[in-house]
Amino acid sequence: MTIKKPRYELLDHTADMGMAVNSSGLQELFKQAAAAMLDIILENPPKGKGRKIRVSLEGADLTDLMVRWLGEILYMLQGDGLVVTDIEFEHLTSVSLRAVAQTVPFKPGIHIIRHEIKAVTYHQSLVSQDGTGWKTKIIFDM
Amino acid sequence: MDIKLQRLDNCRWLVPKTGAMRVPGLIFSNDELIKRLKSDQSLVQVSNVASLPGIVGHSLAMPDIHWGYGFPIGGVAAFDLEEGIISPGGVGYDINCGCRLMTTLLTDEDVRPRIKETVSALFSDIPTGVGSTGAIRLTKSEEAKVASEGAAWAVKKGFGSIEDLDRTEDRGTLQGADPSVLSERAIKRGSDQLGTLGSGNHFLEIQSVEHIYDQDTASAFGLFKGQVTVLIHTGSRGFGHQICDDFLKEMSSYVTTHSIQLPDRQLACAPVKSSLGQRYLAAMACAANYAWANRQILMDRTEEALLKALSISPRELGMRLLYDVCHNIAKIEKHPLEGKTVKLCVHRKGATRSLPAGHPLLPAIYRNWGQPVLIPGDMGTRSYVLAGNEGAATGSFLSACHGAGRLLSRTQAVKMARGRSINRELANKGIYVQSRGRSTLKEEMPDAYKDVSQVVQVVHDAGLARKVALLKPMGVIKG
Repeated sequence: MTIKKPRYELLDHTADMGMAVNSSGLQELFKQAAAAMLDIILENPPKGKGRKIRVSLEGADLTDLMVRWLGEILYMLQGDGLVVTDIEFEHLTSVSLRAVAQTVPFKPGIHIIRHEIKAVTYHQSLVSQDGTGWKTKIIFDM
Repeated sequence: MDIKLQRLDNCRWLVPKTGAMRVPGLIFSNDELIKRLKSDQSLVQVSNVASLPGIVGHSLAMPDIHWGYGFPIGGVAAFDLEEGIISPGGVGYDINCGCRLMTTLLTDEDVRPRIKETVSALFSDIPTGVGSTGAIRLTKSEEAKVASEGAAWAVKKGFGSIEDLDRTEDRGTLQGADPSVLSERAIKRGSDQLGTLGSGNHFLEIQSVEHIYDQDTASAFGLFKGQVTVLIHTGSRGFGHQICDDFLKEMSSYVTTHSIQLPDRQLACAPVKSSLGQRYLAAMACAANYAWANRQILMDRTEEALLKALSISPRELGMRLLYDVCHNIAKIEKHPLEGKTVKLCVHRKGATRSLPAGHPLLPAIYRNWGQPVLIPGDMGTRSYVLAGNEGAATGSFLSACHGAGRLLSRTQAVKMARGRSINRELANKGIYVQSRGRSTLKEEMPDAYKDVSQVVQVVHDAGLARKVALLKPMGVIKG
């Protein structure tokens, strides 16, 4: 897996759970956010290569794009039974992205689920940039 | 944002109309519960909902209100059908998450000595946990029938009986469902999750009736002291999550295109009368129906598991549905408003419908008593059965609370549980629990929830529903 081990902060929310992720670059932020979300869901997310999935998305802005992006990664797990292990971006702007996700099959009993994330919400979600780099904050429905 | 509250009486607080609010907020609470709200953002969420186009009356919150996403959990809001909106965030991801209570002819003494075997049988026979799949695999056309017919589909397939439909909100079928508006993703996720409990705060609980508050109503509901009851709490599973997600994204684009200003993107919405609003209503009804079919099937499986575990006949078990209510929904309902009866789009996000005696939507069996309102507490304390009261018709768009409401976040709960065995603590109270998720018990431990008794007392005092019976848990299965 070429995504670095995600560094993220868990955010407290009474009913649900959130995460804050920082990164120096925007593509890396999108990769790290995906890896962090999978790390919240799975104990020791698997590594390896398998089926490649192309993702093409549009959003109103970077925050909308991030919510839709994480929603795609979540659907791959919940709908298709695939865990994303690596991501190559072909294109990423403030309103669109194209990427290829490397995946491996989710194996119940071998891959342990820590938390069920029902969905990626827009509530207080944000992608922003400051002098130190890029940041995102996301609240999940648990 | 500092929200000023005005105490109206011992169970009502007004959030005065300020800024972009179109109507005031009204919170049902007591002096102790209201203090806790100031530490999270649920009051801001009440105010945000009050700013949505076409809202009428008040932006309401039940006493179990807590910080949600978009709408507060415990929020109720009604919208004009011409000027108003519908919002998937006002219903939530788990569309028609709800409760179903079954009575039996057994008593506490019949079951308590065999509670471990009984819970184990339920845990083995009822699919639980994240992404749990059932023995039922639906073809696309059969899934469309589930989405259109709801609990009636399950009854036709032999799960339960036709009488159960009388004892289910909307007879287990929300009209207007149209499976043709569903995404391929929603259909795929719904194909194998029917008849499953799921994870998180979903559960199945064996209880006994510890106290009767209102003997006449309890008798009409078929409840007696010492009786064993079973409560199921689950919803529309991945099918409903996907429908909410699909429409939230579509409505997020809609508000951008139509330059609708929202205080929180999770409040993405569309006019009720718009084509998008109508499509969402049709899709949401599909998920509501899926959830009713799910709980109908789970009831049947519960009966099978209890018969096997206790080696008794169906006649001896005498399991009967008391009622099934949903608590995440938007419905077109008739309500009095400014001296007229009008149709409104009522969002209940973590709130239960509460019909008073005599309401035309009540089945004949409950018409003289009011609708059963089922309020689960946490797994270590108690749950309540209430009956709808007149106050709900005039003060809360026919709504009451839906549970205890969370007090601690999941991470706070896990921290507090460190070094403790929640299983053992519950066992010491005579409650036997089996759960699948590693952290589920810690996250869902009793300390994580508000005191359900206080929540229910506010509902009782405010006249939204009256207390009928108190149920104590003795066995629980969780995902």
